[in-house]
Amino acid sequence: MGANQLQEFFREKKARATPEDVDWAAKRDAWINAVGNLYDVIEKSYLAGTLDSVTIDRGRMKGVTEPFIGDYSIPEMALTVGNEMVLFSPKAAQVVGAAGRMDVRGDRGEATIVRQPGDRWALIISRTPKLQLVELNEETFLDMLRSVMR
Amino acid sequence: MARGRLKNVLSEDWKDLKEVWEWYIFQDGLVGDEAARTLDVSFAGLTLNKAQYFGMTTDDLSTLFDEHRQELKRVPMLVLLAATEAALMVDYVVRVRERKKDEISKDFIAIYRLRKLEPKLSEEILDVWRTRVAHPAMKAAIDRYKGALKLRNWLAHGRYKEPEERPKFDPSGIRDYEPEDILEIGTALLTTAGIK
Repeated sequence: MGANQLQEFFREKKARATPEDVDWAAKRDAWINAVGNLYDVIEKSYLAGTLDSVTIDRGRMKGVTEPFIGDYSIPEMALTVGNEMVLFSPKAAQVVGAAGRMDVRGDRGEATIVRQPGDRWALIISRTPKLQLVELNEETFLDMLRSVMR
Repeated sequence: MARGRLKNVLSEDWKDLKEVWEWYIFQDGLVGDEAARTLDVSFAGLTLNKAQYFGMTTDDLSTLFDEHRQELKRVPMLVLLAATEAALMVDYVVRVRERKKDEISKDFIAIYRLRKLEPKLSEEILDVWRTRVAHPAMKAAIDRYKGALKLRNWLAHGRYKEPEERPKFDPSGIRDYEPEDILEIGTALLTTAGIK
């Protein structure tokens, strides 16, 4: 392969690898805002009647690196109940089939929630053999905590 | 079983090393194509309709495909070792059936009287080859194949325990074999023995 062909090969690769007309900074900011909004809903709605038995820490910052977006910081949220903690940890804005993904880790296991159009959030019940999602609401939030906590 | 009945014992199903290798390259290519296509679509921010990738980042996808390709490698290694054994066994059956007069065939006929179609590969068949073809290349080929049989046993028994020994005649551990190594080991043994 001559130098010209190699140059052309790399030019095609580069053109294909760089999506055009995407405002990556806006995409990042929308993701960070959506995560903050989700934390607000959890704190002020789902956990509203239980704030005397759960400690909420939204002060942890997580560093994330994503293609095109680059490096950024995003808050995690830790819920502590007794001697057990559940961590809500944003994974990425760019994931297959969704507009962002949050991992939820407890002592028993891990759950995944995804951001969908309109800033709705859904819990992944299963990927195979068939994709099953349920909308995140007060009831499914409780189911999720039961599945990840001791 | 009388030797005359050996006419019908060989199966049409066995594949030689070349056929196994072509199968593996085809499968590996399919996984590679799927990885390239999926990562291209994912990087471009387009929608993927495959549920098994849902919610994955590009790093997750890369890891997933790497794991699948690593796992895929185990299959041809097991099948190549088995195909090498099959080629040795076909040669054994043919020599016995045709009552060939060379020293190797005479030894095989003697083994057949005791073992019929279940001779011990390592202790009997390969020892005949080692003794009758007294050449360093044959000894080396047999030693390397016997070393690789530890990999076959580990794979065939489901990898449920740590492999106990490193293969004596290969420098690395059992996990370090690549399909290319096993193809080369099988080919070297069969070529040195003059088995097609």
